[in-house]
Amino acid sequence: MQNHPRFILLAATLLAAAFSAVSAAPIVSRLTPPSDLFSFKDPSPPYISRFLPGQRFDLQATISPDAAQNIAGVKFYVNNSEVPGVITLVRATVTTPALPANTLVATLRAYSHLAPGVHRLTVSATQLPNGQSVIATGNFEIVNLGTSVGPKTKNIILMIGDGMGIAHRTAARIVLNGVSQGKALAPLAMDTFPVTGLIQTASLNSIVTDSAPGASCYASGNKNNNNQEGVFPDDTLDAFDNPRIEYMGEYFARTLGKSLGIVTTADVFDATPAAWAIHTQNRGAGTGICDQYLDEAVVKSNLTVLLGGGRKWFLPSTTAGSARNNATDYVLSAELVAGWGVAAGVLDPTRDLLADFQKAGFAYAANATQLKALPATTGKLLGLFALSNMNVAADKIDGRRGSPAVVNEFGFPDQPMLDEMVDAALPILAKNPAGFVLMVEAASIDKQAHSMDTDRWILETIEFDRAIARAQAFAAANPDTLVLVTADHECAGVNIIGASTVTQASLNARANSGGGAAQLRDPAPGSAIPVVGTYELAGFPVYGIQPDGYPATTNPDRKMLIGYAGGSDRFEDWQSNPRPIRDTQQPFNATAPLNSHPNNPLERKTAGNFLITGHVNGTSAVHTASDIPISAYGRGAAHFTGTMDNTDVFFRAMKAALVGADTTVAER
Amino acid sequence: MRYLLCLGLATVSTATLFADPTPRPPRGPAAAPEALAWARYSAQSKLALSSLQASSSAVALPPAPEDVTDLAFADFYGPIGDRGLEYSEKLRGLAGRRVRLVGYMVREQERAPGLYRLAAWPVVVETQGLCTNDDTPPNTAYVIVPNAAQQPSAWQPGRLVLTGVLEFGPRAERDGRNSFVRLLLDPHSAL
Repeated sequence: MQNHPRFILLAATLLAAAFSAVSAAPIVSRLTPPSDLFSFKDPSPPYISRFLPGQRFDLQATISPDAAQNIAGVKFYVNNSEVPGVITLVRATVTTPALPANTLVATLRAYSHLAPGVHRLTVSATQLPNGQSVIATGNFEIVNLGTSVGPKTKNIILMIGDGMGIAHRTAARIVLNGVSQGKALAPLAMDTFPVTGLIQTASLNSIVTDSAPGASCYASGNKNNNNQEGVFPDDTLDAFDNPRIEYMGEYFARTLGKSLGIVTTADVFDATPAAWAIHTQNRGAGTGICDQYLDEAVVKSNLTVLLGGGRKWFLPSTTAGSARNNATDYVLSAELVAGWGVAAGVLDPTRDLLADFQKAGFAYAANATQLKALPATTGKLLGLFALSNMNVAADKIDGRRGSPAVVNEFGFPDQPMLDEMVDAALPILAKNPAGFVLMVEAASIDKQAHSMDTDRWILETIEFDRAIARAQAFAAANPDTLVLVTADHECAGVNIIGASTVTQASLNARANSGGGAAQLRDPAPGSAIPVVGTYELAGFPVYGIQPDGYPATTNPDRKMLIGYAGGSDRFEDWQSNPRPIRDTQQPFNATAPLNSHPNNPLERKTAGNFLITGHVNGTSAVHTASDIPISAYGRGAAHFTGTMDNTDVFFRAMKAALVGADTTVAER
Repeated sequence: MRYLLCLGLATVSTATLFADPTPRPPRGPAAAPEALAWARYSAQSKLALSSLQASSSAVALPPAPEDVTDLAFADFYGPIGDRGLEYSEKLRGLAGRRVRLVGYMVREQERAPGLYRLAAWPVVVETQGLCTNDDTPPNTAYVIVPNAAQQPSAWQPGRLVLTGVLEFGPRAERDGRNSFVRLLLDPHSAL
């Protein structure tokens, strides 16, 4: 350690103060960015918080004084040098865990450091009137991106199949392409990517992540708590004041002028899309999140394309269907506004955010027809195709094949498929000569896996693969583009257990027999062959593909069967569900009352009486902690081999973009 | 569930069940029976849906009292345009009058006393979970309970037949959401 003279003086003063008093000193209970050095006095790797040279992040400490004392001077030091800047003190407001009275949260905004290496972060504080002091130390790493090894990556397209583990990919390949005598008849688009690795997905506070930190790790290079995106945890209740970490899109826009695009099949306020542009500890704060897309992300991230569901956040609260309200809106403190140079926001549930986007130069598409008809001159694009989450691929495709009951019921019969959304986004983003970052999310692989709705998440994965093919085609035509296909976590502990040994007609009859496992799992009387065919009894299921690229049926004879290691209790009869669970929106063409949508997996498929007891409580399957695959194509693909932490994806992509890509391995 | 019943093929006999497994069809994604398979699937789907609608409307209700009009969730709003929703003429015409609404109490983790939500079909809202959000249909009604206790009403499974005075227009509710259509429950109602 190189001791700075000022620091020696400070330490000596603090030491003297400590020995001159009998009572305890103030306590630092949190030092941000988080580190094992602060939490466990462990200076060794891994370093919990890592940043790019020059990437901005907030410094913060929670400091509790003794009784009848108040915290006075607070200073931050990096490598023993005092960090210049404004330190703001606010009262800690969390109640769990309870903190002593007068506990303060001290924040210094938008710090950055250029020199690679591990740096010591120290905070000092004094309490008055007795003058006792405390110092606490943590660390962080500025990642060394190394020297140039090849040409730089200009565009990054990150395709996130939310919840997509290895088995989701395999299942989609079997349904889409089939297997014959042990060989897949054709690969998925993502299978053709030349480089594949594995990602470890734990979040800052759990081995099992949710989608907020599971996505923001890719956008910021750092671990967040579950439910939080683009921020470190703090001790205040304010959803929008947490210590921030500069996102990839913000960093690129600030330093290189690149654009940002966000495309999702979810409501755009959902965790994965928001984790690319919005900083909040509450992924549910939809009004504020969507306001900040315009107020902040358009300015700070060059947000140019935003496509998905979620129209309910963009309509004034006076318009029927709006979900805007004060409880989910945002107002930033003056110090945060000053520190990051962002809009303060205002509680404005009656704001017409859709009109404000249009005033800011965004073209607006409300359905697939309008999306396809956009003029080539379109410079910025907002597409909101449903009030909340968009319908899933199975129901959209049914609609296009002349069975629009579900999409009609939801009220949005003309929603685009994900590949069509990618096709609309890419030409607009490609207009920026400085390049772009595009995040594309297939959101409902996760949502339908939660519901253990097998055929719906399989078709969702097929829809995702078609979008991947569009991104791949773009990268083939624009070789300075990197395409990454991965997930944020696995969902539901999905795996392929085999295939039905019976015809669909037989399965139907068995499902209606009420015979439970004896009819839907075990051998029929007089037969040695169980319904759930394992090993060679599974054979090679055949689905058949229509010209639109989706299966002819999800209920073929001898269909593939899926098990759920992360499942809750459910009834199973192996057949497609005519209706999705619970993810419901607009029943305008239905004759009410319509009781078609099951509440949960315990309220559907009950006729077969085959109850599968799950591992988890509740009514839906859960995320699991298993590693997830990443596949890479294009400029910089070589960086994504091996087993890596999810935050490594950020640094490997940024190395390719900022320093240069390793081109010694085939890129495509 | 009713829709499962309609998926069953009545022509399959018990003897067929015991005859499994039958010989496998020829392999190959481009096999000729595809179109047939799709037609069968499509027909099954349509059968399922029509059966649903028939079974729903077939549930008989006692006739509504003389001053009460039956109102369906599907009648709240007109078609969706490029922006928000428009109240239907029927809804506007019934404002301030007694109506009967048949639906399901939304099952949710966070509720306020004195009100609950009623939807056209069973809906669960798990706002305290991860990867869940509130996807109740926008034509969900708020039921305002007169003389409510301090505790939220107990969740009630199954179909509820409620009468009360209809009210519409935007209003911030105690549960933090916006309501647009409200049923001011009759004082004598149990829920």
